[in-house]
Amino acid sequence: MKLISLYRVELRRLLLSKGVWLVAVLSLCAPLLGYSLYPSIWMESMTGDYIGNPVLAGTTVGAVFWAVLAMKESNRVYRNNTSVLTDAIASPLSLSTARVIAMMTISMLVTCVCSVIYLPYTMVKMEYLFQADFYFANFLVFMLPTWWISILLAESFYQLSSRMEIAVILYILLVCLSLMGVTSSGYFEKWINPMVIAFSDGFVTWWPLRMGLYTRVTWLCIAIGAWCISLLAIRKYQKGLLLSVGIGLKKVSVLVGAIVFVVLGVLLWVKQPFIDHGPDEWILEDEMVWSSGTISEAHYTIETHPRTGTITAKAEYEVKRPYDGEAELLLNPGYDIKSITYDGEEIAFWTSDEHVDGHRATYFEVPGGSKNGGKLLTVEYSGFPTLAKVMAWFSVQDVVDEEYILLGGETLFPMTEYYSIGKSFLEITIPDDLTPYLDHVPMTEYLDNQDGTRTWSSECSVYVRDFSAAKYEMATFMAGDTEVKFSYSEVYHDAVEEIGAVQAVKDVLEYCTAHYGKYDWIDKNSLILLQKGAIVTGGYAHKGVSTWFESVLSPSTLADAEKGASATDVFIHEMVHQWWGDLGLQCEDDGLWSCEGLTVYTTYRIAKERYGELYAKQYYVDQWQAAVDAQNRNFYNRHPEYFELLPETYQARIRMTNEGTNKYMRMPLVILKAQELVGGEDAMDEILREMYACRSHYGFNYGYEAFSYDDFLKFCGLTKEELNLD
Amino acid sequence: MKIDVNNITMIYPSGKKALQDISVSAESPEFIGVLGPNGAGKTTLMKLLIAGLLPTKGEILLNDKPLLEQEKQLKAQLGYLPQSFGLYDELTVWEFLDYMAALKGLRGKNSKAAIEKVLECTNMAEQRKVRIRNLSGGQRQRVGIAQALLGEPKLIILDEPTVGLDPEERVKFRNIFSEMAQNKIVLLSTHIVEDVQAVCNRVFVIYNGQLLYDGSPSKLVAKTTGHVGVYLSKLGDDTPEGCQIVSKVNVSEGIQCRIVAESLPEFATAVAPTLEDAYLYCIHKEGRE
Repeated sequence: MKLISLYRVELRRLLLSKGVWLVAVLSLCAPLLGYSLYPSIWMESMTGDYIGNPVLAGTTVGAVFWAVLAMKESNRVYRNNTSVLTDAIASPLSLSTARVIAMMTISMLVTCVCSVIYLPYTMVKMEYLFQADFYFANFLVFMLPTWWISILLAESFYQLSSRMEIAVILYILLVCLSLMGVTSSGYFEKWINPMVIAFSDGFVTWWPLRMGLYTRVTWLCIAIGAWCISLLAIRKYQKGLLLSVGIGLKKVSVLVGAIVFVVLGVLLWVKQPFIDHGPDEWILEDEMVWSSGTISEAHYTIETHPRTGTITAKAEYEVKRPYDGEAELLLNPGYDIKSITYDGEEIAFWTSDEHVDGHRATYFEVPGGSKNGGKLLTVEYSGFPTLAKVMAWFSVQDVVDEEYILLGGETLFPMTEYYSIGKSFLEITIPDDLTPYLDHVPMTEYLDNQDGTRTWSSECSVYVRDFSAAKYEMATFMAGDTEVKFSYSEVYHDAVEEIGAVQAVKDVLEYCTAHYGKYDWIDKNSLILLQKGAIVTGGYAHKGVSTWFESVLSPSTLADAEKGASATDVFIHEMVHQWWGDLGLQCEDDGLWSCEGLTVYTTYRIAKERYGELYAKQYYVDQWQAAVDAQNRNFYNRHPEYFELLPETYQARIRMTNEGTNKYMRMPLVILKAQELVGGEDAMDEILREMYACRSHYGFNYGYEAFSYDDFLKFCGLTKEELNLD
Repeated sequence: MKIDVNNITMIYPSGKKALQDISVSAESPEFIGVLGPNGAGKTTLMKLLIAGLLPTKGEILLNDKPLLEQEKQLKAQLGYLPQSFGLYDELTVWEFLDYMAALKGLRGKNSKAAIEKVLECTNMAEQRKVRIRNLSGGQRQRVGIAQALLGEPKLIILDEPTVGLDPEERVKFRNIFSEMAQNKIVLLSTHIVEDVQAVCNRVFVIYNGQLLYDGSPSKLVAKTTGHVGVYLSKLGDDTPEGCQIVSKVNVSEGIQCRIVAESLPEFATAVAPTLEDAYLYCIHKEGRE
């Protein structure tokens, strides 16, 4: 009988099984775990919270359900002795194949239903940040293939062992391998819990999905290969494992399929283009190389290919004096150097397997050395930028995507310490709807290529830390005597308008500069405030530039009532963190005292200026007092002996509430009390100004010390007892 | 259809010799009863015939071609009821038969008609919508028979098909099997000699893995003439040497014993043999040898 007929039969039978329906319903519920209990993406964003986490939780937990079903369905046929009837009229191999394909079909239907069920809630929660294609792609890339992989592996284990308990043990071991990761390439081992670093709301990159799809295809090949091998091991003529395999080997097509898929899976794993293949240990180049070679000018021409995520590039160096001997070029390990020419003639080069500072080193020697100067050295290279192994767990550093490009350092052009470089110029071609920033400064000159791309050019430094391009909008305005360029993703256009973000930035800059001192990163009366994508960890500030986390404009952040009375106030709160926290004065966090208290207090003061005393009292002071009173009234806070008797989850919940109240409500009240005791608002402003002036001691520098509550008391000349609210 | 079993020997990995050098052949139409005590090798022979086992020695031919090369053809023409089997409990009788019909390649109207037919045959029409988990043991056995008869297979192998059925149903089923054997090969393994006598045109007697008899029941009976007798015995009397008691019946004069023996004792009166006598005589004779 043809396989397709058997498939129809099995599909119909499985759809009549209550077990299948139970697994379907449980799998549909599994994404719920992602909202709170099993969040996989630790960097917060709306896309991560409402798409990534539910899909990944559903992927992992659902995969276990489908595996259990697969093993149970295989086992019951033999345990119930139904196989003696079915095997007599159909080939067990064909029946097994039909059963697996039928199960995969049902899991596909469940994936579709799942994506539809969660759609309305996700759309409502994500508001304008919802992207339908990204939403459905998550289900197709993560959930469906992982469920298939799980079914195939579970079925393979059962068919190989013919014992339910052994199959379950093997499956659990493989799940543990995935959850724990035992090798340095652990991100690839995560077959059941795909690794996603972050999803960005405004700077949408498909990079995590590309990597997800690649790992899924890799594991799918391995799983199909394993399943084909297990088909060969299906017990025939009441023989044991080895004799059955011996008989099964006569099925040449299955054998060939097994070999092809296993080899393909291994090749895909070994050749994966996302994470650096270099050794776990880098060579750290701590010795300074004497740059005896001289390059008068360097021209870098880079073409980005967002569809493939690759670049092709050319670095041209006007060599004034070549380096005597073998010089080193460092490039992203994902790139291949096509050629190195000197004065139009190709010269020999070799690439090392070792990684210097995490980058692959290529060595070349200019013929004639220092005596053969005044000619053009050209390096042509291309490829898909890989992530450094150590970074792969928590950050995407380099990405070329249709809506977001991020390249820097040796991922942009080769670096060398063997040559000193006079001037450098960068020409980079990107999609015409992206706005580029070179070291966080907007590029201005471009040539429209009339093919959907623009070529931007600019002089650049010898080491470009960060080239980024996205669909940015920029608001330029004056705050006092400073020209501010406030850049944010165009996705947040309406939010920026709605909350009056531009005016808020202006107000905060003016207020804080006037009351506490000039913002550190203003340079020559100019400041660029640049919003960065959530996929990039860490902030950045330098003269004239300060970057913001993407979440500052996220609806979930702006809805945080603890930080401010309205979305605008919350935004102001986040902006004030530039003085207290983030890149300003760093405060110790002792559960009560932290930068949050200072920031909420300043937000209150700005609100008082913007909206008047009544507003500030009603929406800030009264709210703080009410929260502190409620905290004081709480039975368990008054009777710690009963608190200790509560279950751990309830204790944790109360502790969390208390911590929030202490930082965001009690501490501003304490500062307000300190304000009264030191002589009013002006006196407190003076104290805060003095505190801020000490930020170099308490700010980020080597061996910095956080500003503590005791420090605050010293500045105020007060004691803890005087500021006691109880 | 034609099946040839040539010098088959089957030894299990445990060392147990289940069949020894058996050769038989059958060509449709034929209704063959397979008789033998427990452990004689009947089920092993059946499993070999459905390609569920590989013989240690010898070969089986289906239509003059090795069975292993003809597995697909065999499966397409086979109706098999094993001694013990499982069903999908969550399905109804109809759904299960529909599933089996689909596995057998029956489609649409053909499938429905075939299912209706076997439901009628097996007296399960009223239970068509009942879930299998709710059926009695006898009803499950009838579903097993029904699936074996589905699609009018050319080779029907029935291993103890009437276990669990009441006498009336047993008689009905043996008649159904007989009707179905018109242009087929039916192999019926059973302990109930009466059934074989009633419907089979040929009988295999297997004992200790050996084929003791292959021929018509009447010839087997004829061969036993003069070896079956009755005598009156008292309670506590030993069985006469060289005899095997077939049955004991309490009568007013004492206990009437029916025996089979190579040569009957003088006190026994020879009677006309039945197939059961013949079968027991066959086994008894082999045991003595």
